[in-house]
Order: sequence, then C-alpha cells, then structure tokens
Amino acid sequence: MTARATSLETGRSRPPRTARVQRLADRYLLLVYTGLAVIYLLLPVAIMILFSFNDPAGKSNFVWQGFTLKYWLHPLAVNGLPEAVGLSLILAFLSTLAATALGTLIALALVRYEFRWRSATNSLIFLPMATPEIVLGASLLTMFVSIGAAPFFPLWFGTILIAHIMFNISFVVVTV
Amino acid sequence: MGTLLKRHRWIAPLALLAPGILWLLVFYVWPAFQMFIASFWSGSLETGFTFSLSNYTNYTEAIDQFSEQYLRSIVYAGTATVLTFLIAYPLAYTIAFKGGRYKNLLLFLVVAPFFTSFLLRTISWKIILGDGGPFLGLFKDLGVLPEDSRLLATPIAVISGITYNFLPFMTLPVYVALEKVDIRLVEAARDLYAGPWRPGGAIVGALLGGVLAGVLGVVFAWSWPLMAAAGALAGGLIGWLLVSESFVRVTFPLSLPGVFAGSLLTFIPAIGDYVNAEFLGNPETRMIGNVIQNKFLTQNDYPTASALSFTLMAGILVVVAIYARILGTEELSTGGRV
Repeated sequence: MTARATSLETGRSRPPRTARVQRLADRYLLLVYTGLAVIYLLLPVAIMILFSFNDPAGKSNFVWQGFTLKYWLHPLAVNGLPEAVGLSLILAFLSTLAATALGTLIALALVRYEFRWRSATNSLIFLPMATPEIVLGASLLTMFVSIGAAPFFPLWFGTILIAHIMFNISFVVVTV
Repeated sequence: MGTLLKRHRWIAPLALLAPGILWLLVFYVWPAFQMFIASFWSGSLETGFTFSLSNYTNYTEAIDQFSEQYLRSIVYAGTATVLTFLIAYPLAYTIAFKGGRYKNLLLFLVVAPFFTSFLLRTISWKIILGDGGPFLGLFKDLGVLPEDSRLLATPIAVISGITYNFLPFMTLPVYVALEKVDIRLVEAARDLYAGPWRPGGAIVGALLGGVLAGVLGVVFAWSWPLMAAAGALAGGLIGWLLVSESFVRVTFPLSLPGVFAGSLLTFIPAIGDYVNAEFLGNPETRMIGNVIQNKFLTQNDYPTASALSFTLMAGILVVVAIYARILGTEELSTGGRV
C-alpha cells in the first residue's frame, strides 16, 4: 500500500517518516513477537531433547557436561519402565474411549434437545473443569478411603481409570 | 419405538445424558459431598475419624493458618493470567489475521509442546532457569547479572512456570474468538475513518503498560517505579504504532468472550496448581495446592485438607458464578469455543 492510499484511507495527512515507522511496525513487529513466542513455547522441549544426550557426572541432570548417546542405546532397559509405559498407554486408551463415548452422548443431548435441566447440566459439565485437579483427586481419595473396601480400596488400576474418565468427560463435551 | 419416542419426548435426551451425568454424579458430586463431610471430622487416620458440626473450627483454623498461601495463590495465578494474556493475545491475533498459509503450522507449533507431559516441561524449565543453566549463564557471562543472582526457587520462576504451562488455555480460546471476527466489519470500520489511533493509543497504552508493569514489579519485588516507567514507554509505543481505532472499537470487543473464557481456563487450574511451586519454588513460594497435597498425602490430615480444598473450591465457584452472570452458563460450558 502506498503512503498516498494510506493517507486517503485514514483521511488525514502525516509526515512520511512516521508513516514509514508505522508501516514497518505494522508489518514486522507482530511477526517478530510471534516468532519469539514460538521459540519460548518450544524451548523446554528442545532443552529436554538436548539434555537426553547429556553425560552428567552425578545423578542430577541439570548442567551440561558432555555429549553421549548411552541413554539412547537401551531406552527400555530402565527398571520398571516398560511396565509403566504399557500401563500409561492402556490407561490412556481406555479412559479416552470411555470419556469420548460418555461425553459425546452428553454433547449430542445438549445440542439436539431442549429440556428443563439444560442449564443445570451445563453447570455440572463445567464444574469439574473449574475444580483444581488436586481437589478432584483428593476428594476421590477421601471417598475411596471412607468406602474402604474393594473395588475402591486399596487403590488400583481401576480407581485411576475412574478418576481419568471423570476428569476427561467435560473436556470431551466442550470440544465435541 | 417410534411412537414411544414421540409420546415421551424427554426420553431421548435423558437416555443420551444418563450415562455421563451418572458418572459425574457418582465420581464428582458425591466425592465432593464426602469431602464436605470430611471437613467436619476430627481425629486421625490411626484413631479413626468422628463427625461433628462443632468441628467447623477446621475451617477457621485452616484459613487462619494458611491465609498467606491462599493470598499467594491468588496473586501468582492472577499475575500468570495477565502474563498469558499479554503473550497469547498478540500471538493469537497474528495467527488469526496474518497467518496466511502458515496458519495451521503456527497453531501446531503453539500446541505441540503440550503433547509432552506437564511434569517434563516443568523439569525442563528447572534446567533452563537453574543456577548453572543456559539462561542465567548467558547473562552472567555477559556481566549483566551478578554472579550470585538466582531465578530458580523465586516467585519469578514459579510464575513463569505457571504462565508457560497454561499458555495454550489462553491462546486457543482467544484465537477461536478472533478467527470468528468478520473481516468485513473491520474493513467497514476502516472505510468509516477508524484508522490509526495515535494520541489515544499512545496515552491508553502508556497508562495500561505503566500500571501493569508497576504491579508486576511489586509482585516480583523489583523496583516498581522503574518497571512502571518501562511499561509505560513500551505500552505507549505499541499503542502509538500498532493500535488502530478499528481494533479498539470492533476487533477487541468481539474477541472479549475468548479473553474471558481463556482467563477462566488459565486462572482456575493455576490457582490450584502445585507442580510449578514444587519444582521451581522454595518453601517461601508454597501455594495452597502444595499445602493440600502435603496434608492429604504426607500427613494424612484429611479434615484440614478437606476444609482447605472446600474453601478453595467455594472461592473458585464464586468467581465462576460471577462469570456465569456476565456470560451465561451456555458460554461457560462451551468455553467460548463454538
């Protein structure tokens, strides 16, 4: 856009230098800012990957010491890691399945139908998202402990699954 | 079946709702109620708990003892919400209006880091902000910062961690709201002489920037007059150069639902967060989430922990209720994302 067109559009004339600064700022400032923001977003992940090649002297992995590949040679050899990864995957799969099914049904009802308890339902969906995770987990724990019997206590795979599904339903409803 | 459904129109939504709502009632509402009961317990895990209404002292004692942590949580979460807004709004604006063919790539870059675990990201910040870490190391080598300056275990580290971890919760709703803004409205506004907003933008920008940076200075225990001056300068420049009247009168008001939803989605989890304060903070920066977690899992002091949780939840619900008054429940559960 030429300076003349700009001044026509804004309906007032102004010194060309200001216009130039403004055009430059308009074109690049936001882009530069966005670039910085993206770097900020990606930095921790990059650092994490970088430090997986670190060769720490002691146990803590906080200061760069030297390059090594040794932690990548046997990634599954850490004690208990394969089981933990497996459990995480199963848990994620099952809770996604259940939460998506339950959440989609609710979303369908909310979108397709008018009914009396609609706004109450809306609030109930929003509440778990509005409750801090620590409070959600703690209140479930209190309940499981006070029931004090199987299948809720002692805590096991099933209780984690219950918590995950409860926590995720709202997010499914909101997104679907 | 068809006639049955027609006669009882309420059956269909009920059948759709029942499983999910039941799950929430059993595993959300009931435990919350249980926790409310537990907050009136006395005793310990070994001796057993007894319920009595006279144990409302759990609340007064808990609030009395941990008011500092409550206040700190509010300040940290509030500061982090403002910071996420300052970072997310220009980001979302650029993606929505200037993204062009890179729009999807940029969105992906914004979301991608959050496919990795919350814990890992926070630990990664611990490396970055550490005393021998790349960030401090650079500035110390340049001689800008004294040798003994620290970032880790300060409020700055905790607030930066929270800001980082909840950034997408602000960026995405704001982006969706901006994306929906009809560009023709903006063009119409420009045609009607809503061009650059020079003096107004500079004055408003300087005021806002000054106040914001001053408050940040107070929170971070930096020299606030200096911060306020710097903020006023930056805000004034931005307002003078970038803010147009069409933005102030059309784009920004239309994006407000996204800003509201984003603030809520950031503030609520941030106020109960304990991971950032745990990894990036010190005992002086403990937030209420840390206290609750410690009471529940380490000390097994269920009554106090329940009272603390319930106070926190009640506080958040009040905030949400005020929001719901302004926005309506529909807007809440859709998070401004429709």
